[in-house]
Amino acid sequence: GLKTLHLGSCVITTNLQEMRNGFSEIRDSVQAKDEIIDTRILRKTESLQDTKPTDQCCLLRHVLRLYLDRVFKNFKTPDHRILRKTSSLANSFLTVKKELRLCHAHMTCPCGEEATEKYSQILSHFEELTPQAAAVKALGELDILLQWMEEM
Amino acid sequence: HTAENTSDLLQHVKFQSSNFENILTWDSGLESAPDLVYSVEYKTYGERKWLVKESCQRITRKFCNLTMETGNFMEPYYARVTAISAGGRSVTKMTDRFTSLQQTTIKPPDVTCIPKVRSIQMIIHPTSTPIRAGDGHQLTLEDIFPDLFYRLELQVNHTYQMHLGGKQRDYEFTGLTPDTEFLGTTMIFVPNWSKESAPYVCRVKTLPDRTWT
Repeated sequence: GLKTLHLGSCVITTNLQEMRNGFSEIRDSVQAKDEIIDTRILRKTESLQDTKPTDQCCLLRHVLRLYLDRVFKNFKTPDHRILRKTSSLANSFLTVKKELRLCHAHMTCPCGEEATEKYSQILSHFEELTPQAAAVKALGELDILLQWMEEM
Repeated sequence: HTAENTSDLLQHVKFQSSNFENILTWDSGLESAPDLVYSVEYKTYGERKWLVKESCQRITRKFCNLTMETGNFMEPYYARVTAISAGGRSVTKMTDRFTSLQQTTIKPPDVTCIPKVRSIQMIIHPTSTPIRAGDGHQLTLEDIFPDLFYRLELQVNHTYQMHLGGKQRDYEFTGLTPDTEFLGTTMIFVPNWSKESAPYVCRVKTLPDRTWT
């Protein structure tokens, strides 16, 4: 189940399948809460796989921080099953982020212009929405982020 | 959506997908008017504009093939159906978000079971999909799912089965009794996406042993 992600010279392992299985159990419920279907936060133009390798680690680190600080925290639901799944996903994200921080400490996670530009695009899509709507939409797009990671 | 109760016109609008053949299906309500017609639109998630599916406008059937329109298997899509009755009542309903890579199911494989005197050979044929690569050639399930593998079982008797499996497509169960019937099953597994097919089943009889006759 472990997958090795090659992000330029930063190489980490993570259990993508476990995250994917966890998300697939809540996907329909979470995506159904997102009624704004004519806009999207994680767009192809800013995708990880279309980013040059040296900038991939930085971009992923910033996106994971966005999810940890402003998605998992702001997502509200009375459904305890969904809450359990999202906190488990948040823990998995935290584990990945710690590995990326090690790369950062070893200078293998530089932030070039491309990563900075793409992240600011993603942030602006995110901030077009209210915090709660943005959290719902971003959580519903977790399958897109996992697919980006799958292709690393 | 019209204010009056129109839920009887249209229900269960959803994609049914297997081997990346993506069919939009829906139901009308119990006592719905027989003169209902339906029109289909679709779009990529994140786009503003709904696109008209030309061949599914004002149709009376309750399905529409959107395989080509939803052909990027990593892309999320939506579709919606508008039901209109002769009396002018109408309602529009939308699918959940649909990404075929995640939601397509896997059909049983196509297998040729070849009986011999003391063995049975099972040849699994590649499963092509409607999805085309950049150069236009059709992708197989194996192309799309690198972790795809096969699991084969031969029921020898009530208590004993033989098992084979792997990524190759040619298998042979050996050491069998001549002139005996066996039940073979073959399944496809895609662990990364927790997908597995229904079994392909073949009932086959080994050949009689004529060496001493």
